Amino acid sequence: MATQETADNTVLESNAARRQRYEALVRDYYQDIYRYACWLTRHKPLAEDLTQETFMRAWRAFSSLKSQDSAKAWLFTILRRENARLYEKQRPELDDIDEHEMALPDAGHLEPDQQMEANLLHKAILSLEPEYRIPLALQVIGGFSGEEIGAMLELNNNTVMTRLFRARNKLRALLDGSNEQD
Amino acid sequence: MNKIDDTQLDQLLNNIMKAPVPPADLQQKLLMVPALAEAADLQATMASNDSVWRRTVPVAACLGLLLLMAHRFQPMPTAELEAEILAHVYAEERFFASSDHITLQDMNARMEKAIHAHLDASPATEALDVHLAKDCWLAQAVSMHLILTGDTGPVSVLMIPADVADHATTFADDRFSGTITPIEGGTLVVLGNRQEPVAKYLNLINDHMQWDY
Repeated sequence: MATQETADNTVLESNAARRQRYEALVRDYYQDIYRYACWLTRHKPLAEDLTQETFMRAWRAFSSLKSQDSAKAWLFTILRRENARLYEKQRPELDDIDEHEMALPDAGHLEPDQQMEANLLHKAILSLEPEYRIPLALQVIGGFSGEEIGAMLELNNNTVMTRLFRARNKLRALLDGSNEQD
Repeated sequence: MNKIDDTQLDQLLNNIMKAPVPPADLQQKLLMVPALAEAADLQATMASNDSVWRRTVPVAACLGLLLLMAHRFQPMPTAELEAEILAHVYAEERFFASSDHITLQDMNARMEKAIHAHLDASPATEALDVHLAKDCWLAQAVSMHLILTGDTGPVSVLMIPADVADHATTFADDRFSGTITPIEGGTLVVLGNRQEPVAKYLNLINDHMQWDY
């Protein structure tokens, strides 16, 4: 009887601890996950749905998360797979982006020149091909290294670094081209 | 405009790619995922390619209505509830040392948002020294956790908007002792050091707590 009670308490404590670990995960990462979803889908309502799907999947697979240290990469990987599973097949990469939907928030502190530059870069990122935009988002939003991005996207480190380099060059060329026209 | 260097480009990328702001209610929705997952399990035949929220809201709404009709949640086994409360308070222990002071007005704003309830203004409630007022997930409900300065140390007040206890009970471990009390509209838990006279906080809160329905 006492043994059963102890076993029950252990299970109960572990359920409570599991829920608390999940809550900590939400608080720590939901903003970055949502941002990554925005750049992956280029559509905010879809990004919100995808974020919810990601955390639903994460909760169901919570026992497979072995270490809190790997939680962030784990969530980003789930998100990319959920996007592929749920949306990519039914919703091919959009040619026309709803720019109003993905508009850059007003940054009142910027000078007009800087605001124009920011808007230009924002549009340029949105128009990057996914093979460049996704590693860039993982690096900038997630803070992941080339090797970590490679593991997530199933690419080798050299390929990731090349794509990151080219992504920046494409963006720089767009900005510089615009500057020269000015 | 001049050509930008690597540092400027990185700074711009950082600002722009981190600009999207999540909807205000997204965090709350994500915190409800464990409960929604349980509800969704009951409806496994529903469309698999719809969003989690749209898929589970009807289920959750039905469950919510049933629970309300049944005068809110079914009582939990006492040992389970006590274990969950103690685990929660230990997990939030880092807030005990906070030197913040939260006004009654601010606390009520947070309570209204989380559990649709508030404390009446009175000299006694105004005098409460509240360090923390945050929503939390407890006993399968979005609840409110207050941390007050007690006579012997921090006192946790947990307001659960659900009938998770069918009778008043006291409980303790090596460090804390507390009470779980069914009240009109939900369940009130007060927990402090073993020497803390928690009954006075229980009575004070219970006397001044108002639900919005």
